[in-house]
Amino acid sequence: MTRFPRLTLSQAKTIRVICWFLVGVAQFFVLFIHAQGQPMKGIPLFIRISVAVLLLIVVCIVIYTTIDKFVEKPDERAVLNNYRANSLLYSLFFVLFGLYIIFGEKLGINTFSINREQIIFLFSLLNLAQDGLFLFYERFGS
Amino acid sequence: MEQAALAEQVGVRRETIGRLERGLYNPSLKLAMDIAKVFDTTVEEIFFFE
Repeated sequence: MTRFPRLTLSQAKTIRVICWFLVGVAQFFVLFIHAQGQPMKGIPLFIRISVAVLLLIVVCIVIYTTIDKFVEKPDERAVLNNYRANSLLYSLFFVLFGLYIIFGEKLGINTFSINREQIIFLFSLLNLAQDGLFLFYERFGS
Repeated sequence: MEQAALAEQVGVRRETIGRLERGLYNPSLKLAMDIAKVFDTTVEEIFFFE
């Protein structure tokens, strides 16, 4: 037993899915539920500190699960499943861009801008989708 | 031979060997040849198309 356990790739990805989900939920709260621009307004101090500590722990865990030393080395099947997950995400973006080009103007969305908070939210969603798809292909991909 | 031991010898994860055994994964030529080499036999003796 080492001081820091060596995770299997599936374990690392599962942990990362949970972490990105938590980041996504926190960012969703900031963006869509609480007062925009003032996400901390009216929230008790102990909850603010708890959320901050939780997110800090999540960041540490994500970093831990990306360090090669602590995670099983990917083999050819893992590389293949990573390609498949990335490929599906790329196709999804391709379709979304296509839909935007075709229907964006009709819906009155001629200019598309993303702020910092939305980028963090998208980043967590993307990572969640990538790791989730990887696990899906690991489990069900033939 | 246990899955973990074979996995370590051919440089893949134990799960990959498990999926190979259940016919759920088609190995690369290199992996197939590495496994055949471990058992000192030919690829055709271990893998076959259905």
